[in-house]
Amino acid sequence: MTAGHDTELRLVSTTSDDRTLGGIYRQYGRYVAAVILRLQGRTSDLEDLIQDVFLEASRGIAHLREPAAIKGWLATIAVRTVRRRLRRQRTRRFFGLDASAGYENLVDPAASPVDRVLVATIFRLLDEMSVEDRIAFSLRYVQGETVDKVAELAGCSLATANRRIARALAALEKRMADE
Amino acid sequence: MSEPADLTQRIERVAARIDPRLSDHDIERLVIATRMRGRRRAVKRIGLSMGALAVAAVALAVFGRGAKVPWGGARGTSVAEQTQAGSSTPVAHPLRFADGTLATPLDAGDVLVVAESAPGRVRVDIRRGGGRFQVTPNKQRTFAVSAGPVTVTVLGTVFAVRRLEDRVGVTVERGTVRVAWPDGVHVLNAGEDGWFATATAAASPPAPAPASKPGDESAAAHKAGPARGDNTVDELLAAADTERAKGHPEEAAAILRRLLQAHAGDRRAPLAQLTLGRLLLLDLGRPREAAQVFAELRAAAPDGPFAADALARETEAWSRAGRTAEAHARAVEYLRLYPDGNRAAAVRKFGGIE
Repeated sequence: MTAGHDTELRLVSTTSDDRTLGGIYRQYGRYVAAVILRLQGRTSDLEDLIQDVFLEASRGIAHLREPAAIKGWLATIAVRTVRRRLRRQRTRRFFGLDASAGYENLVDPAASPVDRVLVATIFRLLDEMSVEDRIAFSLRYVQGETVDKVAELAGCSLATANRRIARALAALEKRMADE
Repeated sequence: MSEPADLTQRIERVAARIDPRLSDHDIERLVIATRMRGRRRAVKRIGLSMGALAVAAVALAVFGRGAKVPWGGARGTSVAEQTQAGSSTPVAHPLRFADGTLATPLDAGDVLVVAESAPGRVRVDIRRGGGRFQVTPNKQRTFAVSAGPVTVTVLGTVFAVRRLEDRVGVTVERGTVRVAWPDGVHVLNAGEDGWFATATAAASPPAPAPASKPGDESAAAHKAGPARGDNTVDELLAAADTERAKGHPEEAAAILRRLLQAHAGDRRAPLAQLTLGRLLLLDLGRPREAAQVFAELRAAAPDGPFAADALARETEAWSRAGRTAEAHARAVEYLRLYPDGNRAAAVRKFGGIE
């Protein structure tokens, strides 16, 4: 991906909204999908959330000042979108309206049974955490971002990002040790 | 148990295998679907704008005469009645207020009613089910949600309330709410939630202590309502709440056990037992112990207000303990006893009944 290509996209966006949407979808659709899936973990909600992200992006693309920043900008929208969904899920789960998801099929079909169980366990435990801790932890260790990037995407300070990640990791270790 | 570094490395390794597996065809399909969704939303926005203008016009006319007028519909009119007059099938639609406040039913069939709408005060009644409320901060008016004897007063926030037969649940996403019931007041902050027992009969007055969900990260000051009857039970419940809020679930569990030993016959004991089970299951990661607590709770009061919840939680606990046969058996029992229970979907999942 080059900055020049991004600039071209932006120019396209000023002339045709449809082409812009298609353009950024084709370039970043899989990246956005991966971010969402690693943060949220539910394949059943994936397409719905992807659409929400690109719909919001299509409305703001014309105002993006730095075309080179489009990838990070999309990730920020994705994090915001997933955060909203996780909060609603947490509410519904508290009221017994939301069944826990099965996370065994989250990894690719070639993954070993051990890896499948590990992923399912991690996401099940993440479901029990606060949304902010979960997002920080998932960005750091599931999505593989640096702590600086975690802070940027989660919209918090570096210290807060570190604190959330540490708290989530400690909770995860404790629960996995207990199980 | 692995070392932390080992654990994070394992997570990173398996996370790399999480792939949405979208084909080019999927992407093109999503582009089309997103365009269509954008158009639908644009049409909806136009419709809402027209509706808001109409509501504003009516409000202006009535306020001009000094009368009270609902912001989201006629006073006492349910969402279902408001949106589908003449239809016998309730339909869940959000209530939108002129200041941007939004009240959304949690489920189809849930009924929210604007019971009071004045410039200084708005009150929504939950007649059935529950709702999620995004309240625009406004110091000039209070926004309250009533669910039977429980009233949640908002100080500018996003929260949800669900009314069941024997209790009312409140969970706060942002901001702060004050929950009041006949025996007390409780403040919930962002990330906190709680179940508040309501009276099901004159012989069983509301329990004064909320059964907050374990695992909340933020610690709110718990304000127990004025003690009635057994002060020791109140003190123990308050102490358990405090320990849990401090992040000491083990201590909270020990206090609840003491309460159950010393006051097994108290009307608040089942609530304490349910809370203990949830602590063991969700905070302390001891699902087998949790399953036993839920089983004891159910055995003590098979027709009690918490029996269905306890059975569902027992199913979950056995499942988390890896005891699939027990989980399955409890799930079958739950579905037989409560085929339309609120937790049926979760029970099916945990019981391996899909």
